Amino acid sequence: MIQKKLCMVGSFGVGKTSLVKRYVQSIFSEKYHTTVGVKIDKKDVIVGPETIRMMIWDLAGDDAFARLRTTFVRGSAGYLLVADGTRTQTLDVALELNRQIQDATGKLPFVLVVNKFDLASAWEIDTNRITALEEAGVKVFRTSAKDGFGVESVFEHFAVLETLERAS
Amino acid sequence: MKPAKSAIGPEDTDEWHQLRSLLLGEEQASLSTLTATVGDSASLARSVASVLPNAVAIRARTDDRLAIELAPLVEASLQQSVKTNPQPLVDALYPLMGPAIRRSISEALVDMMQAFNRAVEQTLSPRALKWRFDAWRSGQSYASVVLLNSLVYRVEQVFLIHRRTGLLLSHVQAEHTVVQDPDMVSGMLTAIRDFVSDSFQVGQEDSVDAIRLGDLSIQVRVGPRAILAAVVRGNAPETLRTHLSNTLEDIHRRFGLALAQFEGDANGFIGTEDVLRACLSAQARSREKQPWRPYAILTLAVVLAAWLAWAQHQSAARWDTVLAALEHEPGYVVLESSRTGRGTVHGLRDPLARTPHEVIVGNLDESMIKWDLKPYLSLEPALVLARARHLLDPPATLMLSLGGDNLRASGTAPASWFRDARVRALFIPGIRSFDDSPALQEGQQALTRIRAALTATALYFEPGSSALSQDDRDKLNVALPAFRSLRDSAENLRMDYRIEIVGRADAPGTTAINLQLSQARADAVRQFLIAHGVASARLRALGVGTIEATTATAAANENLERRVNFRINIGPSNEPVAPAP
Repeated sequence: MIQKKLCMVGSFGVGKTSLVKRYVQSIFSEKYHTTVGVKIDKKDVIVGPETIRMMIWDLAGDDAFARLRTTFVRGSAGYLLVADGTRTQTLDVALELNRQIQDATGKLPFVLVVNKFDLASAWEIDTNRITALEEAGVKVFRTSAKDGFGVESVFEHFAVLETLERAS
Repeated sequence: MKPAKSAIGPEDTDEWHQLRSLLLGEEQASLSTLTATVGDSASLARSVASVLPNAVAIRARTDDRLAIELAPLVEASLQQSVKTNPQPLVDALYPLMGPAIRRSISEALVDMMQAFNRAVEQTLSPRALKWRFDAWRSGQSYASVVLLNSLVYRVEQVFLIHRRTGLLLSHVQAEHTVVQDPDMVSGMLTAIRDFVSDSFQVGQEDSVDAIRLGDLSIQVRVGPRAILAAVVRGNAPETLRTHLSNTLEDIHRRFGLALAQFEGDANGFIGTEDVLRACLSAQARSREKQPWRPYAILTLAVVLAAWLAWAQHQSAARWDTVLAALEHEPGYVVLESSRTGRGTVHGLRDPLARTPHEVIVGNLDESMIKWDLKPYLSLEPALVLARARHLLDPPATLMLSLGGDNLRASGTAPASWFRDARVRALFIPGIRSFDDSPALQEGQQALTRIRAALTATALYFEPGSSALSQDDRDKLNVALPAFRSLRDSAENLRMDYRIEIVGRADAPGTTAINLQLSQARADAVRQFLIAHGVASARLRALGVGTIEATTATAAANENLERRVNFRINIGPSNEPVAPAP
């Protein structure tokens, strides 16, 4: 069994918590976000013969200053930047957080998760922007926490990434 | 040899050089460059320098040979450095040593204070008093209350956490412990530590080392690469803190490399479970052994002492009762008593007093006392009376009682008994006078009754006969005890008495004949009485003829005239009363 620490960051209300709610084991209540600032959940992903255990640090969103407790990111194997497709500003925050994390911990594998795909028609984020990011090498997932679309593949991606790294 | 030499000879020829350059060309050039490089130490150093870091890194991954080879070198250079100029090393180590030393000292102080506080608390603190009160109120022993409140602690879980990632390396739990997902708890513990460190701007070397909630605490020990967290229910003693520190150091020593290279695979840490488990069990053992044993022994001792004291008290109380009983018992004088082992009583006992068994019955086992009693004569009234009864041996009809030194007799007894008693009573110690007046009074009354009964007795004769009829004999036989009682009572009362037997005759016949006949009749009765034991000296037979007959009764019943009856004369005795035959 391989364990990995994953962080999940993003603005308040982008659906980080909802994103994982249906797919993870959790023992802590959501009030931890407002007290400690982080809530830790667990998700096992099976890749081939191996089980990868993801310890998901769901970090509290802080919109106003887009500031992050980078201490919490330390030791992560990777992180998820979560944005809300219906609010452009959340993508800006996600990219800002990404910069902060890279400053604090150096380059780590990460993905961009654009949530609320169920409301795709109401998306505000420019598709070109996303495409540009993808072309720059950023792995982007479009998900819907509401119907579960694409959520599993986000975690599978990290698991596969992990097994590949170990294989090499 | 020659042809061989000529075969080598062509080396020096131009053709040979030409052929060589044609065949080897470039290789020849690079070979000469290489030769130059290897031959020239400066350029060799340059090329080795360029690959050295990579070479070291690759070798270090393969095995620890490099470290082994370098170790003496590093030691030697360190020694050299300290010898020539220690300042740079001091400067480099200072930021590390300072906090480490400070921390070690402060931890030692905290441990010491805890130990001291607990020692004080457990003796006379308000808490200890409260526990004593609780123990008294709930009926539990003080020891068990202390156990419940302070001494019982249990290390329920131990986490070994990778410091950088917060991932769980190893986890053990005590039996029957309910635990949440250790992976998540481990992460959250790390997060909380980070949170506290971030929020309150503590020094770099400081960290959360205990989280406490009610009687639950999490003891945290932080090492360079791993964190040891123990969940403790109850009051964690300082020995546990030390044990945790030692365990963490041990883990760092044994798993240092694995900790440094940890990439999420916790399999390499399965070997730590034993040392973690020792944190659970070692504490459980010391918890069970230390506190209850002295308390149990103490409790037992107290109970035993209480029981002994109670038994002692009971036996002392019984002993006192026995002594008090002996003191109040007539005919006993206790001179000395001791209660060690079998009780001993030295003293005096009147032979007529009750036996020791009768005195102490029900209070003590008689065999538990050794009696040493010498006989003596008691002048206590009960004993004087007992002695009087013993010596005078009164008949059941007579009662003896004592008033001061005067012995009183009441009831009836033979005259002989009174005669003896009057004399012997005065020889009994404690008796100075013998009062038989109650008995005498009763004797007087008895005498009066007897006299009346005898006076009323009449014997009737056939006309002209002086022979006793069967009827008369029967009457006399019935009256005989009365004659004896008359004798005894008179003697007791020291009275003299005479019995006149008066014979009569009826009118027919001459006076002389009638006189003779009445005398014969009285004589017949006298003879009968003498023959039946009545003293002849007391009897006087008197024939009165018909002189005393009254006409009225004679007319009614002539029979009345042919009779004998008795007259009893009692008077003060002028001479000593003769003993009864």
